[in-house]
Amino acid sequence: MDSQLLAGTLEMLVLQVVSPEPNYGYAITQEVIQRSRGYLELKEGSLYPALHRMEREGLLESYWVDAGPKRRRKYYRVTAKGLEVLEHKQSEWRRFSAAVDGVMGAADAMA
Amino acid sequence: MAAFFGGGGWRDGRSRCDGLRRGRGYFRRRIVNIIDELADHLALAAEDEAVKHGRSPQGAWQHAIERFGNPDAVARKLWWDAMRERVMRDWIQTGVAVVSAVVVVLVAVLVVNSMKQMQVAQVQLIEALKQMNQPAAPAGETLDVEVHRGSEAGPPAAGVGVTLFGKLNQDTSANVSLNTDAQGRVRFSPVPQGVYRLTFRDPQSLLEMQMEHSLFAGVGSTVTVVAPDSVPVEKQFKLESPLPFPNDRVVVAAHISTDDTLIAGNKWHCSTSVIVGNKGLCDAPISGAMHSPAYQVKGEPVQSVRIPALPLSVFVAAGFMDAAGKVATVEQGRRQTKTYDAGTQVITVGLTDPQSQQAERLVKDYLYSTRWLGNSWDVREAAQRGSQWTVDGYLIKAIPVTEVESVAMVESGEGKASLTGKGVRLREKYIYAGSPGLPAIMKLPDLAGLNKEYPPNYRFLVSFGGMTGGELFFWRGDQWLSEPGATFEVALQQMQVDPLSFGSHLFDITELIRANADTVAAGVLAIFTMADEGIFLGESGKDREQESNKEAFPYLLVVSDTPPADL
Repeated sequence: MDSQLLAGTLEMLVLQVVSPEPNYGYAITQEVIQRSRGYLELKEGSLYPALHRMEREGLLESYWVDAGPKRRRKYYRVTAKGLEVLEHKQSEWRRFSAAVDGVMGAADAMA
Repeated sequence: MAAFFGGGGWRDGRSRCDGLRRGRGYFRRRIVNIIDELADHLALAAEDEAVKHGRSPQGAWQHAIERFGNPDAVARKLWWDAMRERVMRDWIQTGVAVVSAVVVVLVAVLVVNSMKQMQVAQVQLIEALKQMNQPAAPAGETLDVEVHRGSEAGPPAAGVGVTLFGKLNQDTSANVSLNTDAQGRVRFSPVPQGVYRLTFRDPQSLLEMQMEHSLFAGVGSTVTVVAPDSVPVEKQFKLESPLPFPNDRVVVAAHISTDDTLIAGNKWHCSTSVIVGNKGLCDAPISGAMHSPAYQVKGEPVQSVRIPALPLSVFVAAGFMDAAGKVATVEQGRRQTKTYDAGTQVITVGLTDPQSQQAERLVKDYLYSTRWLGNSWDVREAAQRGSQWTVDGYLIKAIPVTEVESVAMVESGEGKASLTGKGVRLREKYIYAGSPGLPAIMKLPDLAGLNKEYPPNYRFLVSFGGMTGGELFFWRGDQWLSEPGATFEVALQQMQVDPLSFGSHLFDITELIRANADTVAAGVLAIFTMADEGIFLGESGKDREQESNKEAFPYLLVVSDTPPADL
């Protein structure tokens, strides 16, 4: 997959994954792989900076949970502002996707 | 990335960062959180590798790290992203604090420097003020004066009085008088620097001279003056009077001033005042010799005066001196003439102008000056002495009220009332209107009674004291007039009022009224300055009551060229 395409949708994908319920970084990567049936694979080098930036921007908030002896896990959950951004990005993505599909469908017909 | 854990340190990173965990501070907490989060991620990934692919723990960790990429770089980036705003904010705060501190220090330095400069300026100012307030140090300069007689090469002039005068400061003046010694010298020392006036009085020539001289600090100076070599002459006084005034009762204050004479560039002159007369000490000043009331001179009367032989100017003022030496000054400036004959060297002082009609004024002046009109005591005394006296042929008669048969009162209305009468001065409005013990008030025509009693050549000396708005007024017919010389009817006869002078003060308006040739008698508006109880009449009559003489004046003064037979 083109990494630039993924980078453009990374924020929307993270918000989408954590919007039903709080989740942590590794689980987010696995959820994206699972939902995309292995097509989308988030790199940790991109995921965590994105998570921390979205947290600073107020789209996400985090909390820690003990995960065993000397281990703790950081969960992220979407904020109200994050939901608004998610809805906006979803709308944008649908219009973009429909437009791309429309273009690509016409090209297929011509072919 | 050995900075965090190095190599495979992420596997036990949790325990490796215990040291950091125990620390304090925002930065340390952020590091621990990043490590914990990434370590948990790697641990989960390793566990998945081990479970899904049956790898050994070491292999699973190695695979998880390889799949992750570079956890150290990710951790460093996360830490820097998190710290960047904080670090920048801290840097800004630190910078602002440093700049503020620098500014504060600079301001403090400036303030301290300014205060030091102000202190220095204040000290300098105080020192300057002290110096300004310090009295000028007395300078020790020497001023030598040399006086020669006749010329600079002439003999020394001894005994010349030299006066040094000058203002040392606002409150202090130098005024030192010395006489030149046998060498004609005098020394003033020490003398502060300044501008001085030197006055020279030469006893030989009777001339004096003034000059200015500047004395500078550190420079002594010598002043050389040439004194006149002239000798004064004796000048006689001749007292002339067209009236037969007894000379022994008349004195004259004469102020004599010579013209300037220029000697070696300096103007010398003589100015002196003497009393001219031939009897007694004049112990009361005669004022006005210099046409100024403030000028007064008194002393032993002389008949001559020694004065430099120079053109003269003479100013005189006449006075009458009684046997006790009391002098009453006659108003100056109108009755004296004076001439100086350089040939005979006689100063002639004329008391009156014979061409004028001022003889009567002299009578009035005489009476007034001796206060026979102004003081009822004198009149009473005179009356007791014989009721009449003469002044150079004029008979003065004081008629007691009790001898007066009729009294006339002029109605005045608005407080302008005055009365006429034979020796009684009544004030209808202010004094004795209806008071008991006095003759009844009569009308103006009742003055005709006077006409019957006195021969036609009588004159009545009267005083006009009624003032209206500061003006003398007369009664004529049925109205009051204030102009001088008004003709008015009184005693049924036409009468010419010839006031010789006017004044704003009651004492100054004592007048002699002369009847016309056909006037047989003069009924007068006798608004005397002193009436019964000495009350003046005027618009402020009540006020004047408080300040006037309370003595009665029960007399009417009658002046006649010849003594009336019936008096």
